Amino acid sequence: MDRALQASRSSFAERHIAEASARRRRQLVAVALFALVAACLPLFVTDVYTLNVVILTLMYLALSTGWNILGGYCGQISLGHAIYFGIGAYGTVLLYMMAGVVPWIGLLVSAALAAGLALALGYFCFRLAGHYYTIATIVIAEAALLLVLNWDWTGAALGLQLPFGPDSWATLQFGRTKVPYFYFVLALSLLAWLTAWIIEGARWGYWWRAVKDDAEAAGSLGVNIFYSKMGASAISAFFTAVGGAFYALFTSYIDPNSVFGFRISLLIALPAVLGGIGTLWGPAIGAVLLIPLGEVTRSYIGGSGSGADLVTYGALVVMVSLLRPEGLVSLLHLRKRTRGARP
Amino acid sequence: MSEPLLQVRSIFRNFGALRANDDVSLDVQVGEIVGLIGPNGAGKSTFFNIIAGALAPTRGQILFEGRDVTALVPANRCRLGIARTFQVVRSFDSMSVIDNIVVGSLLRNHDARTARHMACEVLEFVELEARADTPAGDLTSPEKRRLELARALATRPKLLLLDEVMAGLTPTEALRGIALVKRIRETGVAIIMVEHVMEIVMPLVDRIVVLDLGKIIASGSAAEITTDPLVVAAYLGDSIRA
Ligand SMILES: Nc1ncnc2c1ncn2[C@@H]1O[C@H](COP(=O)(O)OP(=O)(O)OP(=O)(O)O)[C@@H](O)[C@H]1O
Ligand SMILES: [Mg+2]
Repeated sequence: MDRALQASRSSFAERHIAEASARRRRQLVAVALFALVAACLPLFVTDVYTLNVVILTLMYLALSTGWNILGGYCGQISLGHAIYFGIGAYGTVLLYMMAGVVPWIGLLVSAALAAGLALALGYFCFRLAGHYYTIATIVIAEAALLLVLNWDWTGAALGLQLPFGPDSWATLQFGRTKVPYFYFVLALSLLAWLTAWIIEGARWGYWWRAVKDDAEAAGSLGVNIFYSKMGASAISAFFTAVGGAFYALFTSYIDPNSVFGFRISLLIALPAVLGGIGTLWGPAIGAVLLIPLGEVTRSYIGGSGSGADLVTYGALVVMVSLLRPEGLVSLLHLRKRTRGARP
Repeated sequence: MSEPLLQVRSIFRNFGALRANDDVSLDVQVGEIVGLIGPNGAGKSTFFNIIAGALAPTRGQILFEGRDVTALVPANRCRLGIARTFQVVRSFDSMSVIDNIVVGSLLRNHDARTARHMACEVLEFVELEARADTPAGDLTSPEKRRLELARALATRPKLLLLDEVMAGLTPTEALRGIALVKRIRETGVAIIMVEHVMEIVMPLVDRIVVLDLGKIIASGSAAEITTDPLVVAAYLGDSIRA
């Protein structure tokens, strides 16, 4: 009798764990399929403009996935991620131009710098609650923008132009074709997604989500709230900076407003918010819908100065938050939810 | 006698002019179940928060297994073996029931897979396994109470602080709750439980402590407490009159 009970007990755990790992494996399979399809895109997309849009979409997908690690899982809403993006961009370019450091190393160094800055800022800002944290991130990023605008050694408002070199994977410079950039940013998106996937199944992921839902209850279960926020912040900043470095190499010209501006902070956060904050697929879904739409509006309605794309983003976000506050990804779970719901 | 598991020494806690805890001392032995009762606003939850580390005492000292923990944050006290539930239920609503418990069991298992295994066992212990994959936000409130208990148990505590876990339960649910607390007691965990309903506390506890206006006014067996004139006046009198 006792042994039978024991057997039935462990069988529940075994069954549950098997199901949970199967679910996680399916996610891996799904992403592998997406990646495969995406990898074939350059065969069909030969038009430069369209390829450009695809590359930007993947870039924001990676960025938003990185933002989601802090904002989605850990619940710390930053609207100042442009500071990390800018450090990645300026760091990589400056290291290359001033010290001849190859961009591969430069982007890692700048990303590490950004992560370090995130820790330093977090040390002060994570004592602030909720909205105050968000406001602080905006203010700090704006301050950084003003600083860079006035620094002569970074080219001030004029910005920096990467010196032209021969096409090469070593310097990550490609003048003739954009296809290598496509594969670089595809790899970056996959890396960001994989990091989020690993976090979801690991100790930190559980702790961060607990901190987001109820920090005091998390603390009562032994979760170190402060370290959780710091860890999430550093990882998030790291990916953001790599994205910034990519952007600088891709456009080969940067200026303070285009990499440190509030617009970038918004574009990093919006796909996650739209697609589903704190979910694995949300940022990807959001980016795939939002970025092409924004680019199209921008090119049909007006130049980048008019802000037509931002109006479109705003309208979309308002619509989604009214109709599906959990984000678009919740549409996928509709069937499961209604089945599980109580009468 | 061996050293007490918990020693609370002369705790004071003021909220402005209000003395929510006024020179409260209490020892709890390993595996002992203490019932803490008292009228509304007596300072019971304040006392719990001070033991768990959520509130700092204005004055006084807390020793756990002989070690001074007064300066430790709640997370570190949990690490040492103090777990708690909240009077107002707190669940991680965006996470599934099982994931809620994994948050607790990860404290003792660094590997998420073993933590999940342990969480499953705790889930069965509180008889919630049918709800494993439900979002915690969708649970009924008695279920949420049991989830909170499971989460606390998953941290493998030596001392469990239960703040009105039976409040708002129907008589049948309360019976289930009592059975559950009995099962927890059998595992050797010491418990301090706050309850308003005397019938629930009495059969479960080794000792009852009565708090009124921030002070301990009586302490003893259930029989001693119910006949203590001070207690009758302060607490039981209310319910008899009501
Ligand atoms: N954070 C606070 N700030 C100010 N006063 C507080 C605070 N917390 C509790 N109090 C006051 O301290 C007193 C004790 O409160 P406490 O919650 O500890 O009582 P309790 O015994 O748990 O009551 P109940 O049975 O209603 O849960 C009450 O008068 C309460 O109003
Ligand atoms: Mg209380």
